[in-house]
Amino acid sequence: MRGTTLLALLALVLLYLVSGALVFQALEQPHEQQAQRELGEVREKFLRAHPCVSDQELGHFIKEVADALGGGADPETNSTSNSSHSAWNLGSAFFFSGTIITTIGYGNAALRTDAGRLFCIFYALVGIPLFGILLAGVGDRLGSSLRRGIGHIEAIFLKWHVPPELVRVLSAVLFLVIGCLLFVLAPMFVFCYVEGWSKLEAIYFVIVTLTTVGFGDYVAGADPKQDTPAYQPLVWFWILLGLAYFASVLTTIGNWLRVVSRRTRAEMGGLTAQAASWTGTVTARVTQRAGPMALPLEKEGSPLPPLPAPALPAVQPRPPESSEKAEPPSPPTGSALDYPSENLAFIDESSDTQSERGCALPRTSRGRRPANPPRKPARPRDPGRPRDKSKPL
Amino acid sequence: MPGAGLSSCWGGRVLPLLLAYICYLLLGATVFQLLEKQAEAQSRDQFQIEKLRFLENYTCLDQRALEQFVQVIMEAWVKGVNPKGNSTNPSNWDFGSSFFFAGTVVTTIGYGNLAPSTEAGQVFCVFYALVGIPLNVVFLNHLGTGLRTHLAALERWEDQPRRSQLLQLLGLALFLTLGTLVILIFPPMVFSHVEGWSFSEGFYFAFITLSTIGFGDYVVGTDPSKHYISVYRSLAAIWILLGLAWLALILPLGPLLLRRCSQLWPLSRGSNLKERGTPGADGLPRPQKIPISA
Repeated sequence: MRGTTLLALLALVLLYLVSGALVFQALEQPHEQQAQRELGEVREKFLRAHPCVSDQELGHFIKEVADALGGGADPETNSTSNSSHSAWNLGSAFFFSGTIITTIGYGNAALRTDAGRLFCIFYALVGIPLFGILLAGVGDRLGSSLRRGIGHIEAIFLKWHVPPELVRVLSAVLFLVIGCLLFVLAPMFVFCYVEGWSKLEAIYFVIVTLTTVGFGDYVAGADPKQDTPAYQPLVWFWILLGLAYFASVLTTIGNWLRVVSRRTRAEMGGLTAQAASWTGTVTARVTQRAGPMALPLEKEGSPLPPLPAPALPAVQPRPPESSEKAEPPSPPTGSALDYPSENLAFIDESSDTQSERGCALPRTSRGRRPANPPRKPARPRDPGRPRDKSKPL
Repeated sequence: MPGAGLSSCWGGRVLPLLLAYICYLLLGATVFQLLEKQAEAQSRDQFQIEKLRFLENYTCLDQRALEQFVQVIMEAWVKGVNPKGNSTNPSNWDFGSSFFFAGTVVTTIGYGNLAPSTEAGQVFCVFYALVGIPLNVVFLNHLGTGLRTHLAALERWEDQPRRSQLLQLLGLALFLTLGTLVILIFPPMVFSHVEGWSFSEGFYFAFITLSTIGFGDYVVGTDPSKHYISVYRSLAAIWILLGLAWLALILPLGPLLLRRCSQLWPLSRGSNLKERGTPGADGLPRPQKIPISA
C-alpha cells in the first residue's frame, strides 16, 4: 500500500473516530450526568435518613450503586463534583469509538441510550471493516520496515556463514523480540508508571487489549483522578500499531497450530500426504483469497500485496495501483466477522514468507503468487468432473 | 442438497478441528473454574460480612462509613460479585459460566462482567488467549472455506436444465434464510424473553456479541433474581460459536449470490440457452466451458 493511500486512510479513520466521539458525547453525556445526579440524590436522601436506615432502603441504595457501576457513573463522586470528570469528554469518547471499531469493547463505559445504541450498531458496521483495511495497511508498512531491518541483520549473519536454517529461526525470533520490546514491554513500563499497576497487571492489560478481548477490568486512562487529555488518544495509537503486530503474532501461532496438525497427519500418511495437504491448504487459501469467489477483490486486495522481502524484492511486482484505488469505498456490508480473519490474512502471507523464506524460497514464499495462475485451471476441477461425465454424451 | 454436500466436504478437515476446538474450550472452562471459584467465593463472603457489619452499625452511620461502604461495593463489583443479591447467588465460576467465559476469551468478545482476579488466572488467561484466538480464527476460516468449496459446485449450473437451477437457487435461499432465522433472529428473541429485555436490547446484545465487541453491559445469565436452567450459559456460549460460524459462512456469500442472481436473471428471461455464455464477473471457468459445450 502506498504511503499517500495509507495516510489518507489514516486520516479517514481519525476523522471517523472524532465524528463518532462527538456523536457519542452528545448522545451519552446528558444521560450520564442525569444518572450521576440521581445517584447523588439517592445518596443524600439516604444520608438524611440514616439514623433509621432500614434493610430495604439499604438494598435500594446498593441497587443504585450497582446500576451506576454498570452504567459508567462513578458512585464515589458526589453530585457537586461531577462536573470535573466525565467518561464522555472528547478524549474518552474518542477512546470509546476506538474500542468499538477495533472490537475491543472494554465496556467500562457502555451506551445507555437507545439512540446511542442504534448509532453504535451502524457505526460499528462501517467502522470495523474500515479499521480492518487500515490495520492491513499499517501492518504492511510495519512488517516491511521491520523485515527490512531484520534483512540487514540476516545479511550480516549470512556473511558469517551461519547456516540458513539457523538464520531463518533467528530472524523469526528477532521479529518476535523486537515487536515484543516495542509493543508489549515498553507500554508495560509506561502503564506501570502512569497507572500504578503491577507488572503483571500491566502485561495482562496489554495482552487483553491487543488480542481485542478487552475485559475492561483494567483500562488505561479510566481513573478519574488523573486528567491528561492526550493520554487516551495516545493509548489508541499504541493499540493501532500493537494490533498490527499482534495480528502477525497470532497468525504465526495459528500457522504453528496448522503445521502441528499437518505433521501429525503426515506421520500417519507419509510424506506424500503431507505434500498433498500442504498444496491443498495453499490452494484453499489462495482460492479463498484470489479464487473465482473473490469477486470483491477490492476489499481483500489490501491484504494481498506481498511484502517486499529484502532478499527478493524484484521477483514479485506490486499489484497495479488500480486495485488500490478501488479500495477505500469498501462495501459497508463488509463483515464484522471477517475482520479478524481479514486483518490476519495479510500477515498470514507475510509470516509464512518470513518463516519459509530461509529454505523454501522458490517454492512457496514468492511462488505463491506466481502459482496462482496455474492453480486457476485446477480450480474448475469441480465443474470439470461432471464435464467428464457429460463428454460421452 | 446443501446439507448433504456440506457434511461430505466438511467431514474431513473440520470435524477434528471442531473436536479440538471444543476440547480446548472445555479445558479452559475447567481451568478457569479451578483457579477462580475459590477466590470468588472468598471475596463474596467478605462482601457479605462487610454488609452485615454495616447493618449492625447503621444507627451511628456517618459520611466516612458510607464512603467505605461504597468502596466495598465497588471492589466487589470489580471482582465480579453482583452486589444486588445475597450469598446464595449462583457462582460466576461454575462450569457453565466458566465455559461461557472461555468462549468469550477465544472469540475476543471479552464482556468483562467476569474477569480473572487471581494472578494465576490472569497469567493463564494470557496464554489461553494466545493459543485459543488463532485456533478460533483457523476454525472459522475453515468453515468459510468449506462452504465456499461446496458452493463451487454451483459452478456446474451451466450443465443442468434451467428449472433445476432455479430449484437449487430456491433451496439455497431457503437454507440460508432458515439458518439466519434460527441462528441470528430467534436467539435474541429468546434471550430478551428470558432476561426481560426489550427486543431492541436483545438485538443490541446480539450485535455487540457477534461483532465480538462485547461491552458487557448486557450479558445473558447474570441476573441474580432469576432462576436460569443450569445449562443456560453453556447454551449461550454455543449460540455464540454458532452465530460466529454462521456469519463467517454467509458474509462472504453475499457477493457470490448477487453475481449468481445477476447471471440467472438474463437466463430466466431469454429462452435461448446460449445466452449463458455471456462472460460473468469471473472470467475464468466460463471461457473454458464454452469450447467444451460447443
